[in-house]
Amino acid sequence: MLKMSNISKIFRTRLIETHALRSFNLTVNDGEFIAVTGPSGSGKTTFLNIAGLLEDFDTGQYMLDGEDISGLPDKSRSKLRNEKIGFIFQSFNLIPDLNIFDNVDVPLRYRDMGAGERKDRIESALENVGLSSRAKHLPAELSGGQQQRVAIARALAGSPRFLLADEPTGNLDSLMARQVMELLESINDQGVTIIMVTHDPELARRAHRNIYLLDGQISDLEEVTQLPLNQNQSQSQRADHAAI
Amino acid sequence: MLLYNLRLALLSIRQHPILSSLMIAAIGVGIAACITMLNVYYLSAKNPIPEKSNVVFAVQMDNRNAAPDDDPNNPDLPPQQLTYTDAINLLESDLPLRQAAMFKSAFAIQPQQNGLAPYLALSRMTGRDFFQMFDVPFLYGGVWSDDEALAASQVVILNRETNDKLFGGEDSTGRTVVINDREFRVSGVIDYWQPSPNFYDITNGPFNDVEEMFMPFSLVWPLQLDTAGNTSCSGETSVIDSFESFMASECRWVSYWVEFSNAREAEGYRDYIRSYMESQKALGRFEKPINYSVLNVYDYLIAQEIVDDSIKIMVALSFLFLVVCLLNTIGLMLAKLLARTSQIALRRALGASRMDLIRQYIIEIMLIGLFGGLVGILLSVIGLDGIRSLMRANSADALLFEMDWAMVAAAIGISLLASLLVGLYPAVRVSGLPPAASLKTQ
Amino acid sequence: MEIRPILSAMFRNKLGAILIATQIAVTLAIICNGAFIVYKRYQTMNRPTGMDIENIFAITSEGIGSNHNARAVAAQDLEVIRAIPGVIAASNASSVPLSGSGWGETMQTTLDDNAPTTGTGVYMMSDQAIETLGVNLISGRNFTPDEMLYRDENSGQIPNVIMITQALSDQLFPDENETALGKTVFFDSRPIEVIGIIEHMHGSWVTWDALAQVSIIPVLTLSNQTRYMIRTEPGMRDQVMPQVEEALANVNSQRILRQLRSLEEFAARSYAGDNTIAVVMMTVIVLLVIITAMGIIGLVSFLVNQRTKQIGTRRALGAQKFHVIRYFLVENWLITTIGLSVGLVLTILLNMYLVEHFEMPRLDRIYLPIGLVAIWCLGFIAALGPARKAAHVSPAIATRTV
Repeated sequence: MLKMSNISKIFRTRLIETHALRSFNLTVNDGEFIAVTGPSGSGKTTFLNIAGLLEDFDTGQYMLDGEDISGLPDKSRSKLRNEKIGFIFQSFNLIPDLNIFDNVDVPLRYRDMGAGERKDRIESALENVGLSSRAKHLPAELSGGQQQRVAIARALAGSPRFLLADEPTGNLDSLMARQVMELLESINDQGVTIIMVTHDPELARRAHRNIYLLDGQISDLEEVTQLPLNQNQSQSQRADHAAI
Repeated sequence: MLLYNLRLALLSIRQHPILSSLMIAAIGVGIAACITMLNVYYLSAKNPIPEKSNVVFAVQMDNRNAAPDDDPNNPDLPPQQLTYTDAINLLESDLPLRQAAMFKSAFAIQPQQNGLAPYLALSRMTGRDFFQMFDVPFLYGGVWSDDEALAASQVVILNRETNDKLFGGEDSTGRTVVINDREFRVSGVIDYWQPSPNFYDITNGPFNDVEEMFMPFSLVWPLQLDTAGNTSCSGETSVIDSFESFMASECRWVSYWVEFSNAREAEGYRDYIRSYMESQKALGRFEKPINYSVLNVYDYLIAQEIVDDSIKIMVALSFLFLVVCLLNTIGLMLAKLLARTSQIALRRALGASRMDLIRQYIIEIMLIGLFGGLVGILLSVIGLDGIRSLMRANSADALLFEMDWAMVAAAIGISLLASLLVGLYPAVRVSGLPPAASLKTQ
Repeated sequence: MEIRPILSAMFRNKLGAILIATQIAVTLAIICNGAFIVYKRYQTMNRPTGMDIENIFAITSEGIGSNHNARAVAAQDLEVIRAIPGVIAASNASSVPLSGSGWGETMQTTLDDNAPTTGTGVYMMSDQAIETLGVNLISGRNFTPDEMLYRDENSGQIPNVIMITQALSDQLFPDENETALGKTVFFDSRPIEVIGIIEHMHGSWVTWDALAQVSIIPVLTLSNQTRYMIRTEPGMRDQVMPQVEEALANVNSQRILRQLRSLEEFAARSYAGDNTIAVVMMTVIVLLVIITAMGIIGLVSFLVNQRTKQIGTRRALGAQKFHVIRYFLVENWLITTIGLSVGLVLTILLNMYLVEHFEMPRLDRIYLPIGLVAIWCLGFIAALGPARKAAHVSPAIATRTV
């Protein structure tokens, strides 16, 4: 579904050149649960931004559902983000002046969708995360865990190809963190692909596959759980990544 | 603490130059509009002779022809001027402390020295009492004597400008001025005197220059003078065919003022006027139901409605304009403060109470208000100057467009008060933000 | 179009919106009433005068001394004036139209006690009056030279004939089929025959509602003061004015020549008040527009600033650049429209207040839609800049943790 080959990104100031990502490769199949981990400064955020089409990259190729991303204009990238990617941010990024219903509504408004269809999708997304009763509340009236669940509902409402989660439990206490992770796992069980970026190894262990970043490069590969997938595919994936 | 807050305020202004300038400009423009209009209004409505305004009275009597809609219970304002006959008759009374009949006439001044061409000047023809009644200041000499008044002598009092022109500003008492081919003796020179409005004669408008000369009222007969002011005639005008018949007619061209030591004595005078009119009515004059007024300067000016409605409209609109400017400023102040929430949180963390912060920001905005007020005063002076040239003002009119010190004080006062009101909400709201939320490590 | 969510968000964070909406409401009220005031003043100032106002001027002669032979002096002066090249016509005139000085008299059609009287501005001129003023005599005839009355300065004598304006004729004889021409009317309660009707002419006092009710009588008052009105060929006025003054000074030095002034200058002075109000009002309107625009720019910039994270998030969630611009423009339009709705009420209230207390005419309805459209456009243009800046917020902001 998603294939990044040889991706590099360099940040240049007048004096310093920082290689945020070097020759990065990743292939993700449908239904996988991937964790990209590493210490701060390892390039996780850069990877996240590139994967989520939030930033451009300097060299390499990024294929999403067979479509080459490079060179696409802003309008197309926005549409792709809207239709294919479901974002979950560390600080939830809910809009404080809108209620829960309207918050989940936001990405749907950027599509040609009738009010009826939007309503249905929002209601089912909220039900999926167990927050239907809070539809009229404001984000400030919810706990951190609930807010993140709303963000997940927002990400799901548009039926994306994959969820892109940035430290989804970073701002939560351990109880809420566990609830959110369980939710993500159950969503993944329903067949939704998840790519998660985290610095917490405990969290990473819950994913099927870990990518370990250090100084912009993949440094290790840990297989955590077996995917109920085609054996050949997972083997060739392992072979690809071991090469770096 | 005040100095510290002022220093902080100045620092903040320097740190946010654009935002602060916009605030100062918005307040400045709003204040300028208000003060400009207020200045004109205030000076138009100003009491021109405050020390005497309630003991000096204008006398008016209605000698107009009877009309079918005359209502004794609802009389019109009596006309501003009297007939010569009535003026002469009133002068007989010894009730007032001082009194004077007056009109203005045009004369040709023929300068004998320094090669100046003859020019036309106005002279107020009046009684001796005029000068003490209205506290007219003398530079040289004094008023003509009683005998000179009775004898209708050719004496003249010059104003300072005329004295400067004819005699280079020297003491010209006793010297001669040739006017209309006749020799006049200078009995005195008055200093600059320009009551605004020129209440003693507003028949040609309330803001006119004081006349260049003064002469005895009694000269009207020997010189067969006519008024350079308004003449309104009632009664039979067709029979007027000579100077004598004109003087005896029901034409009104004389103003009349009286002074009493206090307002109570004026009551007795009102009774005198009434009985005078009744006795004249018995002789066939004063066709209308008895209608007269004896009003002090203040009441007289109000009755004559000299403050133009247009100016009132402009004052109202300019205050609305100020409201818009202030709303703008509230927005700018909020923006300014909300941009500094981290600094606010820091101060709170370091021990500043909410009151401390409110005080700091109130002082800041009042400083901005002060600057805005000063800018406003400056713009107002420019605005007044612009209006003066648009109005093609004569020198008396132009006085309305000079910045009065009371208005300067008003400008400062309004801008400080306005900025206090404007700053209150933003300061209270922003200082109330919980500190922790704004404290970041980066 | 996300109007409902925008409205919901706005109501939860009302302050900025309320400030701008209030500003807009008051601005609309001031602009509509102000523009109306300006228009009315300019309308007043530009009323046709009926005269050839661009080519007429006046000069006043004050004879010195008691030996002044007014009739001879006037005759000589007029001869000298008419001899100057460029002068079309000249006449004596008791006062100058539009100057604020003049003679107001009452006229009536019968002498009954209850007969209605009407006012007129009277000019004592000559048979050259029509030519000098450049007015249009639409019926009847001009004065003949022998109808001229030379009267003593204290005399109240009036001539037998008078020319009046159509407006005065209509006032005296309101019936459509009647005219004053040929009739005897009563001028200061004395009979006088109307021999000519002038199409239109303005009198001396521009604030008088009988301004167009003018009459001319052929009289020269013999006094030391004589005033002349002179009409020149088009464009020659400024050149001829000093020539007339010089010529008169040369022919007779026993007098003071003063108030050499064009009719346009007299009019400008009479209308100085109206002109000032109009200019001041226009300045206020311009300033108001600038301030309101600044307010809108400020508010939208502020909102963009405050919502940087939100904008990034929306972009991350799939908003295109034009969605972001549209969001802020729609929000601004909503605030503006709310402000304008309140503003409409304010405008009418303000006008009612001005009508009741200051004798202003009622606001012409057309000003309301004009004001609305103007402020909508103003709001749109002002908000455009900051809105476009918002579109440049990078979607990567959404993932920043600061």
